[in-house]
Amino acid sequence: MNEGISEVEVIREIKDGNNDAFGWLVQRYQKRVYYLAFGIICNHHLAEEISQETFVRLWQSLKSGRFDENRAVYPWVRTICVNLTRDFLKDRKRQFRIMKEMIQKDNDCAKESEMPINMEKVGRAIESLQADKREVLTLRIIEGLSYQEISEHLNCSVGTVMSRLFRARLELKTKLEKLESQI
Amino acid sequence: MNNKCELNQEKISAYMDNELMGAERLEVEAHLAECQECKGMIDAFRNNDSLFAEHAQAPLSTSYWENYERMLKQRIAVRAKKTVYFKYILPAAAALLIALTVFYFIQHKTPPPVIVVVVMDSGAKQYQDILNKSESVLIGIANLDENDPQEIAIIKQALLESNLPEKIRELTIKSQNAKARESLKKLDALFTLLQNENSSIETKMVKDLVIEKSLIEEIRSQKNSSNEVKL
Repeated sequence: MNEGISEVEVIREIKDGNNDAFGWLVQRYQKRVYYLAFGIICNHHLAEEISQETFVRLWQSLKSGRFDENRAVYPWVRTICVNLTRDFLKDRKRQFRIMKEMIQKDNDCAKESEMPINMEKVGRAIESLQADKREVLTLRIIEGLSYQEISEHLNCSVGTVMSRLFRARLELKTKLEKLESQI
Repeated sequence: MNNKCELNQEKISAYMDNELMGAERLEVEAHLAECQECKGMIDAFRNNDSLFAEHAQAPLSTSYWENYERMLKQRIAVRAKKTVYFKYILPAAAALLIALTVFYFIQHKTPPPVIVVVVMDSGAKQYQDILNKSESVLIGIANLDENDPQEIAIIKQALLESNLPEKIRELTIKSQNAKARESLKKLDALFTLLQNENSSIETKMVKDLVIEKSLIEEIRSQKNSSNEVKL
């Protein structure tokens, strides 16, 4: 598709049945959505699952005509993705099933994202944070949202966002310092 | 949090994110110029934020993303099929099933109960059990006397008044003794009447005929309270 095309035109194309147009949207946002999911979930396989489901839900919204073509697409995509991560974290049975699948795919995951050893330690520290702390850090650091925008996603006050971010950063600092001292 | 520091250290994080304005911002800036601990904290936060970003955004291979798109296309194709199934096919099948069920029940109305006319002798207690256990509507015709047309008329009247012809699916007479068997002839008129009213009635006559008189009164007392005459 033409690089100069606008998202509004792309959405119209998708509604008209142009599947290539949806591919354009996917290529535009796939990494961003994946990294958003990974930042919160901290697992490659799960991030893949959630990010893919995000695009499926987007596709369904666009096809059904529920999505207002004059709206920006990515904020809607972000909302879907964050909600899916939350739903996943609440659904213990699904977690267990996917964890079992992951055990079989662990080797493939390791090959896809090999990290330096120090980053592995960082990864361990981040993974040991609670999901809600990773969520607020991801929305601020990866997505670059303002406190007001984060408060709308988390359905809480700006003051709560400030407090939660500080505690998340403090805990991450403590964990990393502890890991450093173990070298 | 650091209890020695007078500053609310939550503001350090907000300052770092450019979320503080005006006096609050100036307050934190002034504090950071003097407090090494808070200065160290903000530096650590900035560094850790970079590590967090680097960890979350670790690059994946080009082949991974190509495979990602392929998997996504497959997933969407499967979901599209499921959408057609659940949105169109399943509701249509359910609607058809409901329509067929309604049609079936309309066509096959609940049949009227079987009327078993058991003419009982008061001494034949075994027939009482049959009457008590039967799910059919039963009429007991007591001591039918072939020479007593009045009695026949009472029975006939009781049947008509209870709207039984509409309810009758099967009419069976059981006769036990010779005299009662003779009485069956008197019931021919009843059978004819009932069959004329409802052609679906099947009438059967069997050998045993037992007569129980008290049942007539019971029928009369029940005819107003229920469409079914029960013993």
